Amino acid sequence: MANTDRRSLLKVVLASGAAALCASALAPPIAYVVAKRGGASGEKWVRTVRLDQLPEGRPRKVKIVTDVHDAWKLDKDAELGAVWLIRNGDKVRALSVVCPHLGCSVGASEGGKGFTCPCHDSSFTADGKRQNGPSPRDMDPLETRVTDGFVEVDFRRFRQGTPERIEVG
Amino acid sequence: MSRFGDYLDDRIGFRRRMQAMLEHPIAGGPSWARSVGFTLVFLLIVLTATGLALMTTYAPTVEAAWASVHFTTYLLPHGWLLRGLHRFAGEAMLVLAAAHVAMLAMGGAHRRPREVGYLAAVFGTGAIAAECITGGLLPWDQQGYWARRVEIGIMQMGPAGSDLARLVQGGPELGQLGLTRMFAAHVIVLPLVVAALFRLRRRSEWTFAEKIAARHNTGFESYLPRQLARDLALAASAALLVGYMTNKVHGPSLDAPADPASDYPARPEWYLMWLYEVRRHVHGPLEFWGTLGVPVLIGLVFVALPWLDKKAHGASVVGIVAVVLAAGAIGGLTYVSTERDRHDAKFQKARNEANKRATTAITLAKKGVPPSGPLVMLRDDPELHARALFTDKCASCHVLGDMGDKKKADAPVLDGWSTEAWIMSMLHDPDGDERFGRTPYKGEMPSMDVAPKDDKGDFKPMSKEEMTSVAKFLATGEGEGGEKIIKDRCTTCHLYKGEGDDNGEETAPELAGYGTLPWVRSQIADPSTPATYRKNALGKHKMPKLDGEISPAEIDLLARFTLAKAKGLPFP
Repeated sequence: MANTDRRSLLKVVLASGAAALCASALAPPIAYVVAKRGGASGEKWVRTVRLDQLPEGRPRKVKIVTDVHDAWKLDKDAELGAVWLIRNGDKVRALSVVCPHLGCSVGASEGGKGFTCPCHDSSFTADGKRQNGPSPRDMDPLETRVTDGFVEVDFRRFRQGTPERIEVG
Repeated sequence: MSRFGDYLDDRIGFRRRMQAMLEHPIAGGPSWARSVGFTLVFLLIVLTATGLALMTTYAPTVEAAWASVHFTTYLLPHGWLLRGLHRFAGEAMLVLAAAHVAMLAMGGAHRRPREVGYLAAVFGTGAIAAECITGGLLPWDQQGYWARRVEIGIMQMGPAGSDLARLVQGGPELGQLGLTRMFAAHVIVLPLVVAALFRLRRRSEWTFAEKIAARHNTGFESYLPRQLARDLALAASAALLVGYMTNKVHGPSLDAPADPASDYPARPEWYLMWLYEVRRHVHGPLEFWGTLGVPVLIGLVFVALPWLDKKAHGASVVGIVAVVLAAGAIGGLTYVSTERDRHDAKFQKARNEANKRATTAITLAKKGVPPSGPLVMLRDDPELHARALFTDKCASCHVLGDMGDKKKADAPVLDGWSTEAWIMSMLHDPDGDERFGRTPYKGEMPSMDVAPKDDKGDFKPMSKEEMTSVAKFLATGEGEGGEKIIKDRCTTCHLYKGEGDDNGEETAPELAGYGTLPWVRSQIADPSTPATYRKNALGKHKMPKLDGEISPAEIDLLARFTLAKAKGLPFP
């Protein structure tokens, strides 16, 4: 009897040992793969076009050209994305082209009033307000300022598919 | 041969296992439905072999992926064949695996004690779908990139979606790390999962068959020969179908290189169109259920089938209902979606644009792709770059070739601009629709040979010969007669070599060098200098200046392009 007990105890001990061994082999790679990576969020002012190049009232799409980091790469003066700029006198309103629904590029509606997404037909007013379609929120506004006659945009990205606006880093 | 067989058998005992396989009892006798499993294994072998071959010419980086797939498809002999076989074998496998699950569910093969094998088939189908989806990203073209971007967006809607998306992408955005991860998943992780599930399924079925055979002892045929014959026939048909499809489309296509800054009318692959359709109809609070909930729910029904089905024998009513509903919904939605896109003019237009870009990129890349990638190749191509500049900066007012909209143009049509024939028509009828007629310059320039309406008899028409020599001189710089007439008659309003128009307040442009590259360059950079249209050009006549908006090199490119296209000359 004592002999069987000892054998089953031995089994448990050995099985736990084997499990611990496997875990020690698996833990580092799993931790490595699931580790959170990615850039810091926060303000990133990018210079775009000169203010006097923007037509009054009519939205214009401008590219965000800046240093783009992707993993180990640094691409100087690469296209990070684009924004819609709408000028109103000395003020410029910027809207991210990224659709808050699922991230396609929102284009100007035919006829020039407002915006439409080519993927799921979400539409927005000229102010970026949600009008029709599946988008859960208005287009994402971005901060702008005019420096030395140039329009600068604080380029940020937000989570898609949520009614709230949550920035992603 | 037999002696070598004996030698090997003595060491690895393969004959016993081979025999066990060939003589294994088949529960219920041979059937075509059972051959589906064999065909799936056959397709897995095809996919492994073609996949390994493709890996010898593929590079999983953002800069190289598209170029290497282009190289494989268009430049290497038989590359298209390999890619085609791989693509269609994969899709055939997905369809067949789904059909397999459907047959199992309807036939009651999910019931105890076969439920583990059934679940292996369900999850196996999921893993095969994941193979197709990850594989679609690898060419890093517009189609794959945008479809995956949207799918990752959908994933983010679910619980812990943000963390899952990070896990898949290796970061907050789909980029290099995402490509590397999907590559690793596609070529090693998922194939191992699929193979393991296949093995699990076979173990489950064999254990089941052995148990029944042990109990009944009659009515069991062995695998050899009738089932094996059917297996081979079905697998051969699948091989023929895959070969036929590959040959028919001459390998799968390649879309333009992935461009995160572009407008792309994203659509998923055909086998996911039904999900796309659901997504279009459910908005607001139902969105989550439409995009993620319904498919997950359908999946869960199939996973839970062994426990939902209370009947012990025969065809499964629950299974049939589930299959009919799922198949009907998927088929119907796919049809509706495809049809709508086919009749959607806006989508078709966007799709045509995308196809054009793909064709251009594929043609350009045949000369080689720079190490910085196909986007840089496209950006630096003079013609494409110039077209993009013209479309962006000029085509909202001007028309040139297929760029710009004649109905909306409020600046001259540039086709033929500054050629002899164009100048002739300008001298005769400057307010023609294609010239000043629709512009703020309408009425500014009088005809040279037609008297104005308010003529009091002092109008001196220019003779045909004079007009011809003016046109010839302006278009080519030849003929002194033309220059003399310009100095005499045109400088009332125009400048010539900086002289004329005494007070300098007129709006007519400098005619020296009209239609030459320096003139065009100067006009594009800043129309308000004395070199072209002078200071009035910017005010009421509103051609914007591009100096400062685009680089001098781009202004030069745009000038050369516009001039070449206007005169019908080759560019660059």
